[in-house]
Amino acid sequence: MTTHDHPITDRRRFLAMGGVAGAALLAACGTKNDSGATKSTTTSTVAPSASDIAFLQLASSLEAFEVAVYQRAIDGGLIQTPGLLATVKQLQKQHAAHATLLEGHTTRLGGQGVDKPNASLMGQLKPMTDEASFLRIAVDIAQMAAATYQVRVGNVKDSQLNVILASIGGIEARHAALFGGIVGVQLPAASFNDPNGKAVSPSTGA
Amino acid sequence: MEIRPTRRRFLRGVGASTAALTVGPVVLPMTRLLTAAGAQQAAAPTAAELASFAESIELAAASLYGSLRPRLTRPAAVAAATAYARHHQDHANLIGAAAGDKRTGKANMLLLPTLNDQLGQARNENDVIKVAYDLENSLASTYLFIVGSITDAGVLKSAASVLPVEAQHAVVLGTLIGKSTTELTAPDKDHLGYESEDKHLDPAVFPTVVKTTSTTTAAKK
Repeated sequence: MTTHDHPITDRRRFLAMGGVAGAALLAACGTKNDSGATKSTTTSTVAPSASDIAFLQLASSLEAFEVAVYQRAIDGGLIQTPGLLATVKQLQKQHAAHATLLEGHTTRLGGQGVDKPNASLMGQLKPMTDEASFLRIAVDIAQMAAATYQVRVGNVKDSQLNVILASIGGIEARHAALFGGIVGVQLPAASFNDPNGKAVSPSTGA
Repeated sequence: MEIRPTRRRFLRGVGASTAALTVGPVVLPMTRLLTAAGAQQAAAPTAAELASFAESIELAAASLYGSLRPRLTRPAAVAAATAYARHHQDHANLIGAAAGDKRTGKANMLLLPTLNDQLGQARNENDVIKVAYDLENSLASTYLFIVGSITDAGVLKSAASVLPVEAQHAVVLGTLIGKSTTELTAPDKDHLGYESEDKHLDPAVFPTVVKTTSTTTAAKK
């Protein structure tokens, strides 16, 4: 069995900075951009991995895709239920924050940050005609995102990324359950989150 | 809400003097007084020890749902409790298998009585559900803590497959008791929209195996 990568005391200091978000910021010595979001700027102590960079680019494009889908529903006036519009906007902000964080880690590892929605996924987007169709698509997308992060945990060279990916994946799962509860999709569907058939293939590209 | 060991059970469990616990939060004396499998002074827990710890808290969760289900009336809550008890048993089976000779097959000896005490204090159905809601958030947080503590691929994969399920349990239960979108989807303390380790159950505070302390022994001498 493998043990810790780093002393528990360092982890506690990590936590004192505000959990995973703080950990990410601490690791990246973040700076604020014009929108107030934080981007990482330091160099990594881990040898950059092309596969890590490619995944981060894919994940960034996935988050940007989610932002775009939500925006399409907002702009199209699809959301009619009182209170739901605020919820959608709040979750959209979370996706935007995730995208910024992932983009920062991409550049930290020496890659080119991606801030555009995934073109392949945009091309496959089903029509959204009303609130219910948007919500069902949002559930599917959130589950796809959760699965995509899940399959990568344990498969990254930079072990710091494990926490970040698991953290964001958990939030995607929460989004799926929240929207699923509104449209009658009961989640979790089973004892374990099965990513098979849901995760975005790395070959999809950013 | 952070889950801390119940004081009454703590006293019963280790036989420590009340005086030792009258100052400061419960957590501090716990780490000082207990000699526990997961609380050795300097050694960080191994992947196997964390798997054993995870099994113990999953079994405590499964037991909790069995205890709270008779107090639920809403069909959605009853259905959730029934399903989640099974989920947690399945989680225990999966992650416990990675514990090797550290596996105990037993519910966490401090967490279970702590949860049962909280359940005993619950005055209505929403209070009952909130005990489970808080636990699920803590479990999700604990799996993130585990993910950040190890490099063992098997335990990482298991934790990564369980964490989203615990998070979804929290959302379903939180929705039943009217939690806000922020509470449901941004459990980090800054509410930025991340799972965080802020609410994780600490193996040093809720050890898998609890032994009596030297405090009691010393008092007898």
